[in-house]
Amino acid sequence: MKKTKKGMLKKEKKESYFSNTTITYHNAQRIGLIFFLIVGITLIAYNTITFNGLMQPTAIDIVRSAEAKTTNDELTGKQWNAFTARPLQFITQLIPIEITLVIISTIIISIIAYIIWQFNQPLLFLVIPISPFFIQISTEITSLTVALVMSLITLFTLFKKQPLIAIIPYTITALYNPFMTLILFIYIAYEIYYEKISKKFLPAFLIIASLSVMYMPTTASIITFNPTHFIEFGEVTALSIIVLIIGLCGFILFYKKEKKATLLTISGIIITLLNIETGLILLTIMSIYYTTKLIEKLIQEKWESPELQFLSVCLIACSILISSITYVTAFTPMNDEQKECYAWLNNNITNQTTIFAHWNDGSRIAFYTNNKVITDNYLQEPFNTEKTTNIETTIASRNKEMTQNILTFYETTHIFLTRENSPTNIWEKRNGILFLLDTTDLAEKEFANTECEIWKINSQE
Amino acid sequence: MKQKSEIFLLMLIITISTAIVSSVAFISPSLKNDGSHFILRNAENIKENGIPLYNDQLSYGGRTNMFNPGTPFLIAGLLTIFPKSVALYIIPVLIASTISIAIYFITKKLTKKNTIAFFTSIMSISLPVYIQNTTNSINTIFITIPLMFFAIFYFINIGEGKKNIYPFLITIIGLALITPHILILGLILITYAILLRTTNIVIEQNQKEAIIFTVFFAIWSQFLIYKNALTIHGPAIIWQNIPLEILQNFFTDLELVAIITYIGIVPLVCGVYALYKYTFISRDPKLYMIIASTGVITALLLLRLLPLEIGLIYLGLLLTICTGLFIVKSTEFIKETKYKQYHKLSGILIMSIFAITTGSSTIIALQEKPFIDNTKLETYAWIKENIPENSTLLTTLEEGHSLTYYTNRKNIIDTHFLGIHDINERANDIRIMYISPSIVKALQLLNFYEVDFILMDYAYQKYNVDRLRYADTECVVPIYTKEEPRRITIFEVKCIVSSERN
Repeated sequence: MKKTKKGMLKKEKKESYFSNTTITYHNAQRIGLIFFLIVGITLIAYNTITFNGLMQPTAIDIVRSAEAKTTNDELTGKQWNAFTARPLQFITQLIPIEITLVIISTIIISIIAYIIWQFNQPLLFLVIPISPFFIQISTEITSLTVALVMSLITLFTLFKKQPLIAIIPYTITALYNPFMTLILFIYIAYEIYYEKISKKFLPAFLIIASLSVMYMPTTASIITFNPTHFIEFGEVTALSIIVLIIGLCGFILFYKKEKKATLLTISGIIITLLNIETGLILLTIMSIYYTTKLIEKLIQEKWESPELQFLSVCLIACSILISSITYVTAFTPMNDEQKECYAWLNNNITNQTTIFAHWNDGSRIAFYTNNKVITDNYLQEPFNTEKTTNIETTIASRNKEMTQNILTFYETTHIFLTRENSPTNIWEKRNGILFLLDTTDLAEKEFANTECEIWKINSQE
Repeated sequence: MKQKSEIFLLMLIITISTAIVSSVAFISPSLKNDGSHFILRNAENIKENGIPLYNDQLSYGGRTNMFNPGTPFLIAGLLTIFPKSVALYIIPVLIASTISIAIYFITKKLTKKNTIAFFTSIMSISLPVYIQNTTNSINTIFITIPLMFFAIFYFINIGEGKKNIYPFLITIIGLALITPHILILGLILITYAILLRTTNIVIEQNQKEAIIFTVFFAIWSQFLIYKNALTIHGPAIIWQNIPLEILQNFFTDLELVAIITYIGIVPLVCGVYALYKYTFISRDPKLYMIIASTGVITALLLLRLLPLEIGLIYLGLLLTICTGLFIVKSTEFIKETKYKQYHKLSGILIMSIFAITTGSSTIIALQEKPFIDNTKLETYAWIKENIPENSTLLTTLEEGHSLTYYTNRKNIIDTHFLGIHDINERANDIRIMYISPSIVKALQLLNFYEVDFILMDYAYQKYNVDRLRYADTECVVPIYTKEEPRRITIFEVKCIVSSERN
């Protein structure tokens, strides 16, 4: 309490640290949009200059699918998603693939910017661009990205009470990703139950969802939960653990008020148990949404100590930003020795033999050396789980008989091991398959440097 | 009591305490525990190169370290300004004894009685477990504990005006740089908020804001430091990748007799009684902070998330504060009886009982022999002179840091477990290397870990063996033997059977 000149007591007004700002709401939207676009353009430019440096090795697979003539990948034995591969193959006949990817990224960023603009949430313009999720979505083009963007458009049209128009992006989502369609359908069912959408649309949405689920990959019927997805937060799935924690705080605060968002979050958690990649990407978006709501609340509330208020907001913003920086720095371009490994394969093994390699090396081997591999890291491939399990087991195993059986089963002629994708205790301590290779007559070493080893499997009598 | 005499008395307590503890520390040939040598090695590296040993070429034969850099930087600063003896043996003790100031002010705040606050401050610096862990040691505990209690004090006072916000901010930033225990503070604050909510007490706005900031800051700051460890160990990081053999032993010593020895019977009985009484009666939010702290520390101890001794330091100091409350309660009680003229004696009586029951434990804690004695130092000096550089020595994990500090040779294990793959396998392999009767098995492991020499000292006691059973062959030969005052042997590994283990 302060005393005025007249000696009357005047109540001190508690101000928010941010209350002195003179920025109007409309200006905030504009400033936010400019910031959003600058970050978006910078990311696309960086990604293009570094030859898709932010989307390896998925980028390689997209380029390969665009350059192929069919949807069958002969080198990895998988099928590309026809809805991604066919349009890309068509477009790349007219425009080079690099420019196509830039155009697609630009369209995605524009759509997101438009949706945020319509939502009247200027803060989203500031928070989303500094999150790892934004880097991923604006630089990594996969069928999942397309499904995600279409889902966002579906949700947006539903918010705008345009269910008829929503059917179009909803159908496209269904073509690309049944899990995303399921999430959307749960949301639509909720809206219909509360009579926000007319019941007459239910059959249409239901039929599309059912058809999509019928074509669900066979591996999807079982829970594909893998704890490593959570361990690798912030690097692989663009879901930073710090954003997740802050988002969780936001969820606890707003779950009652934000019923629709709560529903989407719960759907995301359920889908995560069925298909981790799809579920996590939705949880990422929800985490960022709740983080934004939390920051908004922190800014709007009047704090007793404005210093703590300012520091808290800065802290959250910095933590998201640092997660993004970590995400970007996680991608390192290939060094000379790595390039040398692929060059050796390309020059010395040219008869399209099948190479046993870690799935993360699979894409590069197929792209740079035109040789067959057991599998790559294309996640939608139906039998990928079995193949990756076999590869993982073989790399870690010192059982000669089992290793020989797996190598024979996939008709492999060479073994390609890299430091990057071998577990530390196996590569550095020469354990697992390296122990077998060192101590048995399973294979002969043909090439080695600090980054890789290539072994020729001895034929069995 | 006047403020001047209050300050004088506090300074007197600190000076006497520092003088006693430092005089004991000076007699010791080296720092007491193995962890101190890790801090010292990092501090010396900072002094020379400006950065801590994040890429440590000697620990585990070469590894990336993850730790809070605050203490090594502080010790490096002290080593730059003061002579080594002052920087290592006096100033850390002086900092550790500031706990008495924090306890004094917290108790004063809760009881509003200066005399009782003095009693508790004296009790706090006499706690055997605290003395044991801060005498002759530069482990982070000497600064962590005072900072934690200052943070609690400033948090309690934060509602009284802005003047307490900045000290609170400084303490939590200091804590974040020094120790991951800031996460415990975050947990305490959350528990405090929940406790107030469940008892329908409105939390002060300033405190609410401080909680929000502290929790976010604690998570973020430690996430930055330990992100790589998190990606390696996942959620299991909360157990700090401690090998199971140590984790299982966390509670083998947690017996009532041990607790009484560590923190004393008076704080235990009086503190627990006061806690019990006030938890259900008091509506004072300040007291809820102590209740929340005690609850969180006890829970962490029971869940084996906090080392026993550190947990007991926190618990002992919190119960000491509660003892202050007990004295108030007992004084009030005596006032209501026919012996009311003796009510002032209750505090003196409790202090006397404390002195009698805990005094001997405190003296024993003060006189505790350092792990690194003269005999060991002589052995390390021999190693430095006679064993080639770049050699790897097999030691127990308790000897790892001191070996690297004194000899500049590689170890294969020490007490920094974060970031190490297959730590349980490694710990088990070390046990096998010490107790195995099979030369082949032992050699496979020795070759796998690239061990050149084996140090048998603490291993005799730890693994309860009287000799290295596979030694005295051509492959593993003794090159250094000392029989008095205890047996120490160094063996050289001369054979290679295979670079792999089975």
